[in-house]
Amino acid sequence: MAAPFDINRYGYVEISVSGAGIEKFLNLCASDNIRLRFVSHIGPDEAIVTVSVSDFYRLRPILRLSGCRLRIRKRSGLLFIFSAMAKRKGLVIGAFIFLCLFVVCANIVFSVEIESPYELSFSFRDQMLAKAEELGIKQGAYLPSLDLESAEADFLRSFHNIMWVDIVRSGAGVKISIVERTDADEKDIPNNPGNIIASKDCVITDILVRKGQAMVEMGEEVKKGQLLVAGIDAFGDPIAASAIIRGSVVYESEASCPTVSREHRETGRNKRIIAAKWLDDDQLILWGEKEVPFDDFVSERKEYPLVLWRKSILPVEIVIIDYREQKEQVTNLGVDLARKNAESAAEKALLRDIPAGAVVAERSLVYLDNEDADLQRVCLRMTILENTGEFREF
Amino acid sequence: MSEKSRKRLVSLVDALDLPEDVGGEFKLTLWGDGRLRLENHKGIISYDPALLSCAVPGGHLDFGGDGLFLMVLEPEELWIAGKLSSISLFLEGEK
Repeated sequence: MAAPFDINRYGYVEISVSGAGIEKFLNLCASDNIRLRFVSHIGPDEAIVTVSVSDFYRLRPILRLSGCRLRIRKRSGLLFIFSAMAKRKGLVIGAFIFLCLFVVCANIVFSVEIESPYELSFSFRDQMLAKAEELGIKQGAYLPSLDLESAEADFLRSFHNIMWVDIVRSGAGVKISIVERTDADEKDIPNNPGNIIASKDCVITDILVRKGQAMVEMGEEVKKGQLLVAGIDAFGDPIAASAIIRGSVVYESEASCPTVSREHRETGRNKRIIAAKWLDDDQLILWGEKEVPFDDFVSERKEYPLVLWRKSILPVEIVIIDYREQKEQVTNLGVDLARKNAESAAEKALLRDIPAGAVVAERSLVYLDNEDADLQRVCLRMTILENTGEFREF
Repeated sequence: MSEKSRKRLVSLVDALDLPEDVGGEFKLTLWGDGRLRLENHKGIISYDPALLSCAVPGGHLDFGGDGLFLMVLEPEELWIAGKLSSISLFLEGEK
């Protein structure tokens, strides 16, 4: 249970009581229902006591009876804060005015921004701003008075080329986010008569013909180059076939990974040889050992021709060869890790061929070797749903 | 209340199975060695940071320790905080 400390609610006074009868003072306070807090002894005949403001004024007769004296050490609480404020009315009024101004300014529109994922023309942007101003969304407008939801509906009604609009408060401004309606590019719509053929061997999963006559059905297996939609109308006249065709294409990739990996890693030991080289490839070692100091190494060779003056080059070159020692490191990966590595390599190879936006319908993995084999091969097969129709002019 | 009346009241409280503090008995609640609450006390006898003596019905309680102070002092209860090391109860008539 927590101790009752409710005296701090309005205000309290910390007093120092001194005199021979401190115990008497405490007992008289207790019997007079004066609630004392934090009574601490600070000297032989002196104690610090915390008492509420209302009880403070009842202490005088008790002090007289107990023969103690009182000295105020500290005043705290809301009561004293308010009484201090009463003496500084200007500060209080100033703070209140500041608060009012702050609240008002925080609700005023300082800027109106138009945002779109695509670039907007200046004229369209101006039209949008003019419409926003007409709806009351302008600099200086009072934010709570704006009905942003109905403004969104007004925008959609007024501009038919807007597909989506969102008007939100953003800091001290209003942000209008819009997405323009974009139609298919005219150059993407074929004008010349032609057919749609299969771009890959696949099984047709979706076919929606806009123009032309479908030559295949859903679920039918087609070969690359097979006619899918014929570019003829109902009267047999040639037209540009148009259709959405999706098919399931099977991709397969094999990859392998040894269970024991052998890597050549550099040990950090290096040797440098500096030599002079003539045109006939004769080398004279100027500095360093003649023989390569390591059994297993990689080397880096840099040749610097000696320039006499501008383009006058001497037939001698300085060759700097850096030998870096290597050591073979054998790591036993184990079957599981080897298979995992092989799988990720196969997947990486497959993803290179799969077009963007395709959907993986099925994925299967086959281990081609048993667990005892040193080389683990896997076969990853993915069935992908993708656009398989290709327009071909007559 | 005289000692005789107090004993009668305690007997009545026992008979009616009421909480003991209703009958004027003091109640001491201790939280570790840093805080205690004493209900139904009869006042402070002596007060010192090392020894605080409180009157209770039928005797007095001495609290020894270090840096003891009265956190709350009210007519019915008091709270003592600080480092408590001993609590002694002295009943009237005992030496």
